[in-house]
Amino acid sequence: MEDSRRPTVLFIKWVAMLVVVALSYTGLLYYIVINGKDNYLAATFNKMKLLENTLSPKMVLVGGSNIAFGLDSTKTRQAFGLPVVNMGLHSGLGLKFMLDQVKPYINKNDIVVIVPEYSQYVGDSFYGDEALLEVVMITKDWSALGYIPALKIPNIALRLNRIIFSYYNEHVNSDTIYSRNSFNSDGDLTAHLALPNVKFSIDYKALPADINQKAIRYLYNFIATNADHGITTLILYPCLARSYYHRQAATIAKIAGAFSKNGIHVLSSAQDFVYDDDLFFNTHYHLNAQGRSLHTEKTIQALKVALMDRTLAPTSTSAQNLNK
Amino acid sequence: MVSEKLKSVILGELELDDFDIVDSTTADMVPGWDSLRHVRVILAVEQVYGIRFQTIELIRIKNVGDLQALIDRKTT
Amino acid sequence: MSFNSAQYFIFLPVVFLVFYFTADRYRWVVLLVASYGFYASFNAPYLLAVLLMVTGISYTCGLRIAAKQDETIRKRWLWIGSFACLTILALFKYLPFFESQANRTFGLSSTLSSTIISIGVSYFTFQAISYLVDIYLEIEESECHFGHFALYLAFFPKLSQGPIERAGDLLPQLKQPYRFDYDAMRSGMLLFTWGLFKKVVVADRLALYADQVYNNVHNYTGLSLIIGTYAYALQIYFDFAGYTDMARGTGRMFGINLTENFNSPYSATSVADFWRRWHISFSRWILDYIFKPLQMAWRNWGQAGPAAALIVTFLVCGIWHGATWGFVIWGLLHGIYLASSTSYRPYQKRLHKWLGVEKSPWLKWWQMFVTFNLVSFAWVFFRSKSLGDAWYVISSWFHGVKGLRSDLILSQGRQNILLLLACITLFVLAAIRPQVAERFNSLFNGTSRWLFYYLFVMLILICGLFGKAEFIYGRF
Repeated sequence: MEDSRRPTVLFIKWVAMLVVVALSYTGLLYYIVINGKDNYLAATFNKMKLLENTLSPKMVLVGGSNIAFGLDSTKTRQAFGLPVVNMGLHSGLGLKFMLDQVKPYINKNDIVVIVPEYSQYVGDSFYGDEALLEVVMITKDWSALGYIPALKIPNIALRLNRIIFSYYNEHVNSDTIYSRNSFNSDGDLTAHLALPNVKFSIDYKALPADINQKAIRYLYNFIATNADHGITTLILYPCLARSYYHRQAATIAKIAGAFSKNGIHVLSSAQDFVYDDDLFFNTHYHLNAQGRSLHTEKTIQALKVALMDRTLAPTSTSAQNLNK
Repeated sequence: MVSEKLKSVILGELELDDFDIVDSTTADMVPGWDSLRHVRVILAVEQVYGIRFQTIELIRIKNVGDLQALIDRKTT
Repeated sequence: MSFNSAQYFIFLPVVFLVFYFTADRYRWVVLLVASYGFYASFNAPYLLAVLLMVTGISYTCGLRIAAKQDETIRKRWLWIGSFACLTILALFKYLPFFESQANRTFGLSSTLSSTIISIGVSYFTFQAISYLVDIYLEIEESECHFGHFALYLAFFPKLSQGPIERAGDLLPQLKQPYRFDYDAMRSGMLLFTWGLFKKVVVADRLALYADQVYNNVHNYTGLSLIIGTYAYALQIYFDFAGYTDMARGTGRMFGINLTENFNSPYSATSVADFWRRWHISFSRWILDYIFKPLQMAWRNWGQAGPAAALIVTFLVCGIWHGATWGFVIWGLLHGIYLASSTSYRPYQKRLHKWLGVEKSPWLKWWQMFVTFNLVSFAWVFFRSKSLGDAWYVISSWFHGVKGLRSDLILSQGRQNILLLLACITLFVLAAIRPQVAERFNSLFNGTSRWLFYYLFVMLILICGLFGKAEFIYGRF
């Protein structure tokens, strides 16, 4: 009994317990994730397959859930005569991951349309959070863990406990739109289209005010490299609920400023895609059926204008200059 | 030394029949001697002895002995 | 860093190991370095400068007050020191106000104040002032060892949100040699874990409802507003009590006992009783350094004296929390509650006697219920984003129950509300029936205690909300 009171013994016991806790927790997370064949994020398999199997020339939509909910790929396909792949899944994957994900599958004459949520350009959302961790576990692509700053990983792993706590809701109860099966064959989310709006409160938390310069530069290099390979890259601002826009207007203007300072041309202005609150389904980025058709129309218009005027895409020479 | 006069003033204000009050007695040792009553005790002392304390002197008092010493200083 | 972040879970053991393996006479250095490092982790270098400045000012003034015999000189040093600390505090608190006035007058659009954080400043400046006053009143001796004094102000478990420690309580402990105490370690870690539980499982889940209502009050009406208010009343308790437990638990691991800040505040039978149980280190501060002197100074005003002293004291209390009308009104309300209770207390006693209920347990329950509602009413002003919102809340309370179940109670899922109900019932039971608390403690002291430690930690990891690192009282 005396021995167990010595500090070293206590320390060892304590460390052992923490190791057991960490293993149990990660094990529980992993078990739930790999058994969730119908998880929303498992749709990443479908999307990757779609991307691989769609022949060039094609149009690839890159972004978070805003384009999953808010763009109609069928209409877009009809407007441009190109197959459309909607890669939109979850902004939590981080824009860096999203861009790198499509890189190997885009070829000459493809068009990449990038529409990330505003959060990607501020703070460190660019590198991904819980959603990326979950996708890493689903796809077992462990190298993708490298996207997340190492110090953030424990915090993110803690935040992922949501999937354990809401296990019954999200995994056993199949009555939710957040499922792999909610997507159509183009990658659009369609399960919400027939449903009435869900009452939601606008998230009052302000976006971080610090622009992530590395993110902007990464985006610029992506566009420039594409241009070198004959791939057109177009950037758009995402759709946004009006009351949310009002709260974040200053930060959004800052982001717009950062784009122009870095030579990135965005096809729209932020206000173009701000819509009334009642056109949104359940969050300030997710449009409902009515909002979706309006937004698709506007997006198609903006893309048409840009594609007819080819000088808007950066050429190889200007790219090399700015890369210095 | 706590005088009988002071003792009776204190006991009177606190509505106590008897309590052993000595130099080292502090307010929280005596039942009912909260800050409200404390003010009344001071007012009663000022009235009975016909003296007037300065606020700063009163804040410095730590026990009944200090109070007695203060009274003694004021009445000589 | 925040106590509920992964970084702190690494910081703490590392600091402890270094502390443990350091020679005893240099242990204070480890703690001081760790404390400044902890403060630096908030990414606001100006805060370190402020802490150092306040430390330097109060250290020097303290020595001067103690060294001199002349009353006027002593008083002068007291005023210099206190005034300097208060100015620093006021600058931080009122910067947004000054900035908006300057913007309006000079047509600027400065947003400096929204980027400035002031975490910890309110607490250590008040601590410094209490140190100076205590030396002046000859209750305490001045501290010559600058390192110990600096640690007294900066000690990281209490740096961000208190408790506000008196020199007589903390300084002697910091000078004591450290001896490893198994029980202190264990009880410290357990206390820390309870605090973490209160914060991430209970407070942050309650916040989901309180935030929903108070961030968009016009979306709600009737009973939903009341439930939202009650949720906030409970949230702020569990948040702050949780932090305090974590602070005290951490302190205990280093052999330091920090003062208790809470004592079942919602079991108070009167507002006066509430303030003896809520944020105790702070209410004792305003009691000793504001209320008592004022009450003494105004003792010849009859009934009005203590009443006025209470109102002024609680106005200060409100302003300390922030320079907005909401906090001022909150403080004023409490001042009025207390001031009026001093006058109606004797009548109340007579009424109870006449009704024959003075010994009845029902009276106690009734008083607890009334007190909780009085305090919650005041919280409306504390939490509302504007006076307009607060007015809307109190004027719409009785507009029915529409939307209560679907828009509020079930809005965060069934598990959330069930878990909260279970936790709150547990805490209430533990507060009113000590046997329940005993039973729980025995689980953590028995032979299978490591199993219960494991289960407890797993419970926290699974049921806790880890997105929000902020504590409510870190903003004050």
